[in-house]
Amino acid sequence: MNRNLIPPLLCFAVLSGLAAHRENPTFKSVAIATLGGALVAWLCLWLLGRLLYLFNRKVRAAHGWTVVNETVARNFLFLIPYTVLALIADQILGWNATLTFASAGIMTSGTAVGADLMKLGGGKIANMLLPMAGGMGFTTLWMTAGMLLRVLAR
Amino acid sequence: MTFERASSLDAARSGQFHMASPAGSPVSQFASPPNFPGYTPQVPWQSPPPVQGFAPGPPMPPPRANAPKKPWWSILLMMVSPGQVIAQGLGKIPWPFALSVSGVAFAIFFFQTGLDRHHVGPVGWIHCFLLALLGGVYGTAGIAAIAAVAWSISRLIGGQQTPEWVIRAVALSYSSALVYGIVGLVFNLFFRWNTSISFGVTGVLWALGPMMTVFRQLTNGKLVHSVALATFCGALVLLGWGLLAT
Repeated sequence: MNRNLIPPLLCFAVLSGLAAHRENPTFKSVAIATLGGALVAWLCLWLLGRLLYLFNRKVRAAHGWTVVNETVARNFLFLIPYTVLALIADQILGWNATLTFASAGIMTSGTAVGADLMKLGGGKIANMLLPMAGGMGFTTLWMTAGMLLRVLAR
Repeated sequence: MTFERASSLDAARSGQFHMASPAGSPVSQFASPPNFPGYTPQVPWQSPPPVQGFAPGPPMPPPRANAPKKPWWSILLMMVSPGQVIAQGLGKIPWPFALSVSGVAFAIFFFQTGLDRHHVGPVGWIHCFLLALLGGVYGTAGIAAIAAVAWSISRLIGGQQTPEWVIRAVALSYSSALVYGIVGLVFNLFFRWNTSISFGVTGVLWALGPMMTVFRQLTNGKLVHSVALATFCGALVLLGWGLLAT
């Protein structure tokens, strides 16, 4: 497994756990949401990477899957500030807005992946639109899975 | 009419021509004030305006690739492609203009916080406007202070940018907060939605994206440092808002 993926996966685990804690603060619920959130995020990151790999012919030819996967993992480090802010908002300010932070973080990280792929020689339009569309799909899938996990854990 | 210097195509393109006019032609006659016995000028002498394309002028500045002509374009571009705005040297945006972007963004954000409370409780309009004023101060002085802190930290890790550049860049990062704030204000005023979190906080969160690009530039591309700096500054902004407006 790519080592750079560990911090983003931890972030997803924290965000998922926070959302579950707000709804049902039991150990079982939080544990299932945390583990499930990280696993679904891993799948989503892989899918996003594959989508970008598929539509970036030049990058694919010049650098291969490893570099695309690395770029996705590295840029999802941008999720860290959003996770810290979500923790502050939840624990200090008392808001129930974790998923807002998560979706903003996913979209920002996705855009950063696109920008990096452009630097590697990828197309401008593809790397502006695809990360946005992929980010939206990622957010929807991850949030729906999180909601289902929370329902299952009740 | 002849041209003295058109030795190269570049000179011709940059408009560096000198027009050599024969003695007695209208141009040479009025290039300086007339001076002959009995002549008294009725109005202060003014040189004729230079003729576009012919008069000698200062050398043209080097062209900037795709640099936005108006600061407003830089605001919109900063939302979509912050790296491009930074690569163009932040366009021609003076720091007061950049700070006014964050100032107005936070004024609207704080105003919405007041309006949300106005919808549900006995909070008057004066309180809302005072909050907006506080937001304006926070968005200018507060953001400048946070940018100064970021600049100080960046110097410790080898950053080379000037404080003025950092203030301009950080303040301009809040262009997305400004756009979200304006849209949220419309929904708040016309549909009475509570928009301070759904639009206000979302806008501030979106501002973290351009800010991380700015910090990446500030830390010479060091991703971990830029993420740490963005986390620190983002937390300061959020806690400041939570302390002042909620």
